[in-house]
Amino acid sequence: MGPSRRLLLGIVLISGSVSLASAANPPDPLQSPTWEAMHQRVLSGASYQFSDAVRVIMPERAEDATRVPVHVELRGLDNPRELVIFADLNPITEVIRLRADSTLPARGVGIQMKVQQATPIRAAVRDAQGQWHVAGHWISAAGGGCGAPSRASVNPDWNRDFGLATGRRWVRHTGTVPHTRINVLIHHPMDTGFVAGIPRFHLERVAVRTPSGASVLEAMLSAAVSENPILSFDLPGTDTVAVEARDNNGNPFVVEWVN
Amino acid sequence: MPALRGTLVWRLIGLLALLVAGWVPEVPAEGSRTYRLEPVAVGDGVWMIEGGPGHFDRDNGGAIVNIGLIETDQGVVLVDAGPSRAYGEALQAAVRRTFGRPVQRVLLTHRHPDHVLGAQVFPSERVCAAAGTRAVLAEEGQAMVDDLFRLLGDWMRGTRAVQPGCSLEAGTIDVDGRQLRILAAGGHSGAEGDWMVLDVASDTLFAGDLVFSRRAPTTPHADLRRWRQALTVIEALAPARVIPGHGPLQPGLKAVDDTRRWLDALEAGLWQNAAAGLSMGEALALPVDPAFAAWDQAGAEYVRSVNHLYPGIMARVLKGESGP
Repeated sequence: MGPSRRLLLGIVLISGSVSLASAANPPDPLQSPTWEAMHQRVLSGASYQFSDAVRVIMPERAEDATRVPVHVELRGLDNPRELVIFADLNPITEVIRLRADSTLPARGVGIQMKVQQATPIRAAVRDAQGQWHVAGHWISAAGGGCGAPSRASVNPDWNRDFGLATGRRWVRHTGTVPHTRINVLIHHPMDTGFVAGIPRFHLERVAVRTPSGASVLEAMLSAAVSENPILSFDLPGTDTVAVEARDNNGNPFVVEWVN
Repeated sequence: MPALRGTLVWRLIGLLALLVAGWVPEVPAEGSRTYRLEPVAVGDGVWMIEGGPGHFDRDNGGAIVNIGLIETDQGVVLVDAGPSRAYGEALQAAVRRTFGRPVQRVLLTHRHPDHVLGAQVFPSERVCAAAGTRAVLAEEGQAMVDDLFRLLGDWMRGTRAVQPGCSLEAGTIDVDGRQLRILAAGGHSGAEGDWMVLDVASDTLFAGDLVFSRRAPTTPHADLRRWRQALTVIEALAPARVIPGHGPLQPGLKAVDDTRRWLDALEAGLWQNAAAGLSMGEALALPVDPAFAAWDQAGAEYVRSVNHLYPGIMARVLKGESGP
């Protein structure tokens, strides 16, 4: 066997093994150094695919690393069960995780988050078969969003607005199908605990319920969510909902609606 | 021990290669890291250096700002001083070349680093800024330098925070027989305020960053209501010409109109989107108003302004407000 044929065989063997591997674990289009760790930690090692059924709207650069807007839309996934937004290279990787008892009703989610450095920001949605659908983009950032003290922590009047929780709802239509957008603002410092002398203090759980108290969805928040977060959810139908939250110190918050 | 000796030889060769690679000087591309500053006469004894388009980057060295120059009997008064030590040096050289006289006074309109950091090459007692501007330069000056180092790299070599030694106050000052009216205003740069300089003899207003011309206004510390009040002051003053902080000189009050139209459209658009329930991410992704699409940095500044202003407007909508 001449050297060229040996080389050819080598290439065939290598490419064969790559295609075998990619059938199980598609390569990360964002080429993050920690994608496999994210896969294990955030997606529990479950099967995944990169998918345009999940759309992540975010800026290319973080103008303010303490408040980077991220909006996620689900398109054509009929039975989502769970949605998580995370940033591979953030010291707090997981930002928010939404769950429901059965089908996750939210088709759109908007948040603002902190980034500590340039990082992929992604959304992953788990379907009824347990498959994750993942999308995202890199953001460039000067950094420091997680290590900055909250404005509240350096403001002697911080508790003047603390706990103020207010929301508003809009009925929208996709064709003739109505859905409801809710935006809620909860005044909270969302301290990461990374600043000396300022302990970790953040909203931990936001629950959306029907007026009669049945669970619509639950959101688990980390301190990577921005201070005084404004959360947006798109929910099917036109029914009103109640939103309550709790922080890691056990403080309860009840959203008051202005409409 | 031949094996070890072999390793050693290779290490030495590697070291030599590194030394040679390190020794080869980096040859700067033609014209790079040199500010080309050309004062252009715009009226009787008043001049401007027009900044280039764009945002801060490693190609333009941050030379995107306009500088005002006012001739006096003894020398030249500068309005603003550019983003870096090298810019200040180029400015000093341009003044010497053009006028053959020294810089008598440097008046800083506001706190932003692209306007102030070049002032460090002039004696501090000749560099004047308002008390609020001086306070913020003392407190945040180093952070401003660090920010621009990140954006401009080597252009910033040797640049440090600047501390003006002379106080700028509202009223009329006389520099070597030339009357300059100093006007206090605000809205572009937060509580520290924005200061304008009116050259009485030529009826020329150096408006600082209260006026942008065919270049989208920046809003990192903006108070839009106060900014519009400042524009009203300029309109009432109706000077013969208004030198904008960024962008070309336009006839009469055209650049003032432009700035007002942008601020009005920006604020109305943000309120409209917040009132329609758009999240910050959705608002950010909207296209820029076609009326302004031809302006320099229109898309980029819209995105920045959503970052600066939209959370506050959303919060007000969620507290039941319906407009500014």
